[in-house]
Parts: sequence; structure tokens; C-alpha cells
Amino acid sequence: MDEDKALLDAIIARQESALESFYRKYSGLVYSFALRTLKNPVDASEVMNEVMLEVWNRASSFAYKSSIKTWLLSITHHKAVDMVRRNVRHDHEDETEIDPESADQLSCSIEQGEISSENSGHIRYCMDGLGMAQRQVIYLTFFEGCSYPEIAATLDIPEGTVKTRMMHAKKLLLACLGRLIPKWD
Amino acid sequence: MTDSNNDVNLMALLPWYVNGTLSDDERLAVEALLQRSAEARATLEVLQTLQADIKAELQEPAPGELGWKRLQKSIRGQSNQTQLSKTQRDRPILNRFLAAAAVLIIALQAGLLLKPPTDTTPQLLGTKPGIEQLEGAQLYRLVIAPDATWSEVEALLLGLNAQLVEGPSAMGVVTIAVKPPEAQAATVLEQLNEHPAIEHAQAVLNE
Repeated sequence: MDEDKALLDAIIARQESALESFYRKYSGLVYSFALRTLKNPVDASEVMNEVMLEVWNRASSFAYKSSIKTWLLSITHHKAVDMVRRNVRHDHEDETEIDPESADQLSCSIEQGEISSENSGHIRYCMDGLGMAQRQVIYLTFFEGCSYPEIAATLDIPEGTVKTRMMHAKKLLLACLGRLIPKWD
Repeated sequence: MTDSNNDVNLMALLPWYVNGTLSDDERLAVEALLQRSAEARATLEVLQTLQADIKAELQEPAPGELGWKRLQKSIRGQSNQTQLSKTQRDRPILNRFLAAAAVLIIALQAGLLLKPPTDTTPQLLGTKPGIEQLEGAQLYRLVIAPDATWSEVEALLLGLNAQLVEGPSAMGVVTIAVKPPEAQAATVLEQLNEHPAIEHAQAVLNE
């Protein structure tokens, strides 16, 4: 944390080298979450650039009430949601609808699936079939190792909503995996 | 709260038991549930496998040098704009001269960040093309393959008579404008996607 504080102080003092160090430390975290949220590397890279610009311009607004990781994930979430809302190119209903309680139905079956049971892309495929809100909770829990209060702070939702989203997401994800992979059946 | 309700609430905490982020009290309550419930133990096993598979499969390549160059370009462009605005307020009589100078600075920066232009590539480097140059052109966003070199991309864009509109971004994303001869229009996207230097190409709306 001390190292991060020193970096943020230097960023506030407009030291570009500090931003570079910060970028090299955290760009993977930001890009991966943006990519899992948006499912599109082009949009994810745009969001990552916007997040880092926000750090450059508004580092002084970070009050150390949360971890830097939670702060960055929260900015990334809000930038990604903005991107979804303004992006007329998106053709997926579930991504333009940011209804926290939406329980999207996976259209995931062996007939419709683009992968075979031998393909190691089954997790990615089934996660991409979830709604954005559910996908984020799964990703933040199992990949980033966030606690549910951290996820609530990141997504700006009540803790109970995090648990509800997890419950629906888990059910849909396991149903999809069960259709594709014998070990999940 | 009934025992049954309590167990449902504890089952809901299992994903965070798996990732090790529960408070001590919550963790002990979940462990007690695991001792008395076969269903909880079975769910735990599934979630542990799920976490391991997600961690193994969702590793993404970290954005590299191109992402940093893009960010540098953004913050320097921002700085140039701020300086220009301040000078415009102070000395309005020089507006047109200063605007032209700022455009020149941004053009030089863009060129330097991408690669020094060669005699054969003046249309690829520099600032965004003017509106009149984009009229009738189709925009494409390209993700450059990780092992591709810029000279390969440059050769491809030259072959298509394409203009660079934006980028490179993190992960090597660029936006280009292409106004191909009519006979080739339908195959541009195909050519881009098949080229070894391009990981992914998609047409985008010209906003």
C-alpha cells in the first residue's frame, strides 16, 4: 500500500514515470475485468485507456477508504457500463440491459454451441452466455478473489444483490457446463 | 431465523468460502454447515473445481507496450489541449496560428509514437483524416496479432490504401478507414481477418 501511495502521490504531482509504473502494475487487472465485462478486446482496450486517464486526472480523489484494486475495478465497471450504453454497435440485448436482477437465459446447448467437449474454451463460452451483471460477479469472485463486500463496493450494489446474482449465475453456468462437459454433468 | 433459513444463507456464502474471503465468524459458520450437510459438501466441491477452471482458463495476456504508448499519447494530447486553451484565452488574436501549431505538434507526436514515416506511407501516419477524406469510407477496428510487426501492418494498410484513424490502442487495436475500389469492397473484411498480422477485424459505424 505504501508503494501504491507513493505512486499515486507522484501521479498527482504529474510525474509520467509514476503513471507508467502504475500502468504496468495494474493494466492487466483493469483490462481483464473490462474484457470479461464487455466480451470485446477493442472496447476493453478503450476502457482501459479511459480508466488510466482517470487515474492520471483524478488520483487526488482516491480517499484510501477502499483498496486501490477495488477503486480501479469500480472505475472500470462504470466506464464499461458507459461504453455499453453509448455503443450502438452492440447487438446483444443482455448487454444493453443493466438490470441487476435480470436472470438471462443461456442459449447454450451442444447443438448451438461453437465448441466441442474437447475444447478447453468451455468456461469462457459459458461465461459469455451469462448476462453482464452475473458474469462480473463470477469473475470477481473466482478469478480476482474479491470478497462479497468488495464486489458490492465495486459494482455499487447492496451485498444481498451480489449474493442473488451469484446464485443465478452459478445455476446458469453449471447448467451450461453440464451440457458441454461430462465432468460437470 | 429458522435453521433452514440460516442454512440457505450459509449456502449462499460458499463461493466466498472457496475464495477465502469470509470473515472468521462466517467461515466458522460455513464450516459447521459443511459438517452437517452433504449437499453443502457436494456444492463446495463443484465450486472449488469451478474456481480452478476459471483461474486456468481466463488468464488474459497483459496489455503491453502499445497500451502504454496509447496512454502516453492521450495524456500528452490532453496537456497540449490544455495549454492551447489557456493561450487562446490569454491571446485571442493568435487563435488560428496556435491552433495550427497544436495540430502540428499532435501530428508529430502521433507519427513518432507509431514509427517514423517512410516516403511511401504518408497517408498512414499523423492526425485523423479530415471529414471529407472519410466520406464514403468504411471504418474497421483491428486487433493486431501479438507477434506481428508494425511494418507488416503498415504493408497491409498500404495495400488496401487505408488511412489510420485512431490507435494503436492497448493490445494493438487500431481503427482504419478504407475506401476500396468497388470491385474489392466486399472482400476487405475478409482480407483483414485472413491476414496473419491481424488477430481480429470488425467493421464499425462511421459516427
